[in-house]
Amino acid sequence: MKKGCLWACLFSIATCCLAVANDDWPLLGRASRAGRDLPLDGVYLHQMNGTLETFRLTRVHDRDGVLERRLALDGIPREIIRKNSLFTCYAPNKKLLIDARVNVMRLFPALISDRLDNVAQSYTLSRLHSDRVAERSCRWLELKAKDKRRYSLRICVDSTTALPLKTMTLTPQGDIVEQYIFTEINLTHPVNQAELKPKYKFSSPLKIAVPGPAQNHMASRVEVAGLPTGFYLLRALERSLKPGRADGVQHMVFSDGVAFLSIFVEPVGLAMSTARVLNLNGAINMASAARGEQLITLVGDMPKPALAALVKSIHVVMKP
Amino acid sequence: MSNTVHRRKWGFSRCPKMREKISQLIDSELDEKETAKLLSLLDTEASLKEAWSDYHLIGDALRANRMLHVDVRSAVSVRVYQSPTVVATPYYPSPLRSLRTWGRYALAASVCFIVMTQWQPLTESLRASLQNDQVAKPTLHAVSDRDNVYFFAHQEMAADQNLLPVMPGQRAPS
Repeated sequence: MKKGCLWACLFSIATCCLAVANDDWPLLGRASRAGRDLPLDGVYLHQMNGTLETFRLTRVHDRDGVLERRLALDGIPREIIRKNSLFTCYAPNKKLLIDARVNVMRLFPALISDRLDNVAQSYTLSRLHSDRVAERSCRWLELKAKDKRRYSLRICVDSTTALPLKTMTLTPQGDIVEQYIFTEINLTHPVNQAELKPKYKFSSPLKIAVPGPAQNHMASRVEVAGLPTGFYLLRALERSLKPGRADGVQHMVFSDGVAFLSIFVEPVGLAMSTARVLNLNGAINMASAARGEQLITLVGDMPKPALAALVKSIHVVMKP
Repeated sequence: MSNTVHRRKWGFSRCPKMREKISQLIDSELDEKETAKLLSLLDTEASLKEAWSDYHLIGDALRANRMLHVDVRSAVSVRVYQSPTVVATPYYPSPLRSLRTWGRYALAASVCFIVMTQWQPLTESLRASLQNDQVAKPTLHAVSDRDNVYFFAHQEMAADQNLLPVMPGQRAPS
């Protein structure tokens, strides 16, 4: 009798735990969608590499879809306008447009993919303590990497809307590499569309590699071995890295649902063949090394040591 | 004896009339004419000058004596007797304490020396770094152009996989 009660208690506890765990993944999905589409008007801080910047983010829905404006409030003047999936960078002069492009790299609060089906292969999701950000209550979720080859991500999602209010990217050692945090946010009052008009004169649309038949062909003849588990091919194309030149660099983008990894394969003669590992921007690192007659370059939001090890072990085979 | 006889025998200073006049002059009791006459005599007669000095000395002594009627000696003695006596052992600095004191002085001197020798290079380096900060071009992305091409190529393809079009046929493995 006593044994039966004990087993019943254990079973109920396990069921509760599973139920909570099962609730966390849909909550993460909601956070992903809210981060991408929820209308809002707020100010957030972006901290990385010892720098701190402030942005105003305004987003509305109109009959054409989502319209969004991201304006840098300090530092170099720049802004990014988004119309659905099209991005345009604005700046007071042409030289500063490149700085605006840098900020398109990570578009807080849309940092999480909503294709979460394979994230569980590489990350464990757990619910942490409650917190308060920008005068709103939120709950911390942690996407903890199962190995030391990728960053972990902590997200404090709004209790009402599931909007990510604060995110932290952490190294396997637990050090914060990059973080975003809303300091003020308005989710209720409608935003005047006039506030979404760009204020700077010079603009540059962000180029987007549109998938086509050539990419399909390229994806079918490339084989990459040695990647960490969970990474799948997202896009592949043959491109030039310099405008006006047909260099024929193979570019493949892989993702594990959280991190993105670009693999560039080019003949050694096209670029300098010295092995290098460096930080490009916040959590984005780069590593390159010559492998036979190929120069392989990896760029992604993965820890520097992981990229340095990966560039030595990866095998890229191009089928004829 | 008349004044004239006195003057011839003893000089002006022994003449009672003249001494009285000097006394009156000191006490400011003479009129202007007599004062002028007596002052001119004082300039010429050495004996009169001596009498003038004597009278002033006597006057000073008399004025000093006038203050001596205030006798504070007994009151001071009483206060001294009533005040508590503090018994304290005399302070003889021990050799160890003396060493410690000297040690403190040495430490302070060392700190001063280090500050003096290091301050200038420190301020110069701070000034240099401040100047560098002021002249440095603001940049968000301290990477060479050679590496920028990889960064932006990666960005074009992976800025946000939710927002950018996905290649047909490519799905996450289930």
